[in-house]
Amino acid sequence: MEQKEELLKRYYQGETTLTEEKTLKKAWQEGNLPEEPILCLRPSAMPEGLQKVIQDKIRQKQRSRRQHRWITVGSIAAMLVLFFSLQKLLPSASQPLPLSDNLKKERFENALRIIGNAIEEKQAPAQKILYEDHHLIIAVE
Amino acid sequence: MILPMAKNIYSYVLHIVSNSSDAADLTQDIMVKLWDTRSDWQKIQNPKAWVFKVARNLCFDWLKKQKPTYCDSPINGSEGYTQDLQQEIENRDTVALIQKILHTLPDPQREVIILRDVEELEFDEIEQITGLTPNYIRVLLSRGRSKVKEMVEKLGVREVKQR
Repeated sequence: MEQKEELLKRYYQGETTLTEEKTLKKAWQEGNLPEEPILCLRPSAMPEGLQKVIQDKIRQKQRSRRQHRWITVGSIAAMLVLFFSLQKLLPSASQPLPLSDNLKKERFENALRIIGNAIEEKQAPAQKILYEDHHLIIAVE
Repeated sequence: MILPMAKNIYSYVLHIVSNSSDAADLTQDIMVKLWDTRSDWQKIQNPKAWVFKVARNLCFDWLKKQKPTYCDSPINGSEGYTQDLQQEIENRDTVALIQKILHTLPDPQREVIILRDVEELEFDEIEQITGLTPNYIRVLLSRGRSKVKEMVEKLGVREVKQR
């Protein structure tokens, strides 16, 4: 009995080992320490079926992850097929479209027109600069 | 490796959230989360402590969402005990009574008691889970246990039915 009291004293000081605490709990269960209800503490039982629910949830998660992976792989494959198909169907940059004579003529005329416009724009009113330094410019139009 | 831990997790979560339905939902979330991290299992030294740590973090996140004004301050004395607790005493349902008393303890004391007296974890495991030093864990445990005893005596529970 003295041993139990000593053990209880150490228990309330937080100095007992797990084995000693199990001994005390066992004593309480056997009705030897009725004045120590704290020794009744034990893990709560899990509700029936929860384990199965958890397993199902994990399995479902695995399945959805697998599906997701397949969708990703499938999408990449589809994109690659699309890319290569388009590359074959569309003319590449190294093969220019054949131009008709009329189109060539039209493009040549356009080019000349652009050059002509550019030259006209450059003929701005002439200016003669009489004096110029860092601070002052004297010019005559 | 993880699935057999479900019952420990449920028990721990139930003591924290004190509602079996929420505890079951949270346990499912925790188990799925643990399953997601299965690639890290090899690196973990103490899987049991790690599992409880993950469960603890998720429980605290959940509690924060439930209680926007989450408060760490202790509930002092037995003033909080009213008819509800008296009813428990009359019912002589020891486990329920002690659990009710546990819920009046400051969070750190309650948590340490749950990890040690309910889940039967070693001090180094509790240290890994809570981040507290073993000495402080012993102090909290001592204070918590003494307070429970004191409250049981204050409430006049001399002998309680064993289940």
